[in-house]
Amino acid sequence: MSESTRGVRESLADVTQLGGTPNSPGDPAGAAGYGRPDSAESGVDGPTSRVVPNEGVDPVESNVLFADRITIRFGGLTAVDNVSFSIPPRSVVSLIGPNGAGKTTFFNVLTGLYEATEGSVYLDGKDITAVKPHKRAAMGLARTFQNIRLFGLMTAEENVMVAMHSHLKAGVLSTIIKTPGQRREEREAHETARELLDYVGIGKTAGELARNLSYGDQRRLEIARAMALRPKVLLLDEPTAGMNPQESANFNDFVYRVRDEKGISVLLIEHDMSVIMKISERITVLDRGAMIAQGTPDDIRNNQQVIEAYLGKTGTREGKRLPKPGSDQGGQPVTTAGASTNGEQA
Amino acid sequence: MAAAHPGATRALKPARGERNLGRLAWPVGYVVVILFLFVLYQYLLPSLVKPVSAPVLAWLPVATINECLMWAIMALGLNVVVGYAGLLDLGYVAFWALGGYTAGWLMAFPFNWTFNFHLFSPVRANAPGTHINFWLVCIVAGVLCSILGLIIGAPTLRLRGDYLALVTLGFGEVITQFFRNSGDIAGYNIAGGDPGISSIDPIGTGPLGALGVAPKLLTNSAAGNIWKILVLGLLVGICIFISLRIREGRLGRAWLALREDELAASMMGVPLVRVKLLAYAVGAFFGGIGGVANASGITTAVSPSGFDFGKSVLVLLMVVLGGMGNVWGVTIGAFLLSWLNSNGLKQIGVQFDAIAGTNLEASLPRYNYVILGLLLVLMMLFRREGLIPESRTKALMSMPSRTEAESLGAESVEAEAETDAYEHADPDGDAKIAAAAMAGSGASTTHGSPGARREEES
Repeated sequence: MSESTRGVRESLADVTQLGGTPNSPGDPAGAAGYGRPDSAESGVDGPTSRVVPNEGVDPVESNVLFADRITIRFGGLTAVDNVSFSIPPRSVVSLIGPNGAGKTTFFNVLTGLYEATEGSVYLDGKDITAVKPHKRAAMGLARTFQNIRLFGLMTAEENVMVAMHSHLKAGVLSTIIKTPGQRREEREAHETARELLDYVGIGKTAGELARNLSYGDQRRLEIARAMALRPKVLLLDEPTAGMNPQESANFNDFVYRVRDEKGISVLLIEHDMSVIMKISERITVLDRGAMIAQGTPDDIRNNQQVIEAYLGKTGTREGKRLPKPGSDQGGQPVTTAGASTNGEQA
Repeated sequence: MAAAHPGATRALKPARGERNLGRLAWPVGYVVVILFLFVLYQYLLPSLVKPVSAPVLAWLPVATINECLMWAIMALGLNVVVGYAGLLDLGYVAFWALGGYTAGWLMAFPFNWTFNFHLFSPVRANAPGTHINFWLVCIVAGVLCSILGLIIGAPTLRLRGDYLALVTLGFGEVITQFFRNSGDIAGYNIAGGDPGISSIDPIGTGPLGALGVAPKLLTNSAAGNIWKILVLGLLVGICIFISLRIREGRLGRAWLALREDELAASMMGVPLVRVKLLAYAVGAFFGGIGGVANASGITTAVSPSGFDFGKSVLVLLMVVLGGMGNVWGVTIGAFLLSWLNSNGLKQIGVQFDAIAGTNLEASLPRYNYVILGLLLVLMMLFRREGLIPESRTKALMSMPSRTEAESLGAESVEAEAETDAYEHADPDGDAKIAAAAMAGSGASTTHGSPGARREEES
């Protein structure tokens, strides 16, 4: 809010952090401004339409991950409304939106934590709508968490090895007897874990308890752990939260390395626009559960609806809000954040 | 493992090195201890003069050692469920009971309708009833209990924490009540009802007995008790071996991950249902063996009154006191508590009587649970991590984790994640948060950070 009152309207790329949605849900003027696009297939308008996956190609087959018209309702509340979303192979795409836009909810549908009320999810051409989260993970859908969720009392190496569970074969008996096969498998798992830790740049910490790593290293470890699943898609939930600009820049390079060297598609969820604008090949913008835009960073930067979603409309609505500047605004971002956090942990 | 390392939280690497060494050394050390106990009671003590041997026999009679070993099997089993996988089980006595009754069914003449069946049994061939070899019964009971573990585990899969504990508590009572009323179920006598099944076969010694080295049957005689040290010692050794091996492998890692963060584990491809059920099954397997060891080696009878809730608590106490997750801690905890429970308190009473002229010998053992409870309170106040803690748990108790500390500082404004970065830049602030976390983690769980909550649970 305060940003918009100060009239920050130059470029969204400069706005790194924004509070909650600028308008309260009951605001009729605001609601009028966020009409959901009618076309469920593309959900885009104007300049963004040219990056829609090639017409005529089956989106299920051509994308490594494809979410088809997802709707999620919690009771009477529609958290995500008819959003289609695709991740092409070897791409870096992102999902953005103000707090409470439904990003994390949508994300949780992709990973299987929530069941979509309507719609289906396809991974590598296979319908995984009914597949359990751990199976999705084993199939190649790896994620990190908004609030880091490592196994704190396990070493960095063990953390990575936990994620290899689905790729290892040893059963209870062969573990007890330590069959040659089990020994070899364990040795290889150790090596792979070390390689992954080196890959994300924290090879030295292999023997440290995860809880003792620094914040940045923990973020890296989460990514190494996710990569141990040998994913096809890596879903990163606010990966640069708490990083300084230098770390963010390094992170961009890292994401490209993951895409190019490992051939993994990356989906980022962020509300830090500066990161997203630099890194993404395609951006999808959610606001209050609906997709309001999709396109290249340039498209998004100039998209009027997106600017409004982030900064609020000038004119009538702004005028309405001005009378009480900052009186109860302080609490609003916190509550929105709390809601999204709860949703993630549920 | 228990070496005091100055930087406790950074100590995992050296601790690992020690563990590697211990991996080679423990079987040797363990065998030496068990053999020493055997030789001590079999050969050394009888040849020593009374003033030397009498106190040893009074403080640590052979029967007590056997009881300690039996309880160690139980504690090691519960350690898999509670210590490794972090699933609180208050009904562990159910497996002990089923194991005992399996021994009753397969190693006795419980009911008139039992057909006569002998399989490698040491008892005379014309004895009526079913008589199967102790080791075979151990396996059968282990498998039966594993199945029961799966049955108990299945409905609890969706539950966590308190609810899980309550359901397991219920199951423990269900099993006991089932056996209590088993004398007449639709006209059939299934498990002898209230009196239970008595005169269960003692452990046989097979070839050793045939050669005349050992008594043929390890009854509760002096000679039989001494040989039981070897048999039960072997069983405990096997349980320790299995515990250590499983812990290192794929399943052990999955259990630890489950204990720390169920959701994250499932998101990393760990099948929660399977892994949890396996924890129950493995724990129950040990419980079944413990039940057979108890019924055949110690009491030679089973009755429902022996399988009360108190026993579940006792085993849990052993695990908690010894150090959850640490095999050696749990074994020591089992020895200490079962010794206190069976003979230690009585002896302390006797000694006290001799000095003060009181009459505590009879009354002190009756207050066993009072004393064990006090012990638990003291442990929780001064050494929450247990006697020999797992190196990880020790790290948890000694300091809040970095993220935990940071989340306390940044939690209320999580949306503004950049706060984190600022706090990082301010060392004083970090210290303050750490101090707050220390105070907070002990006092309340309402901070809501998952780390703090886990700490309370463990």
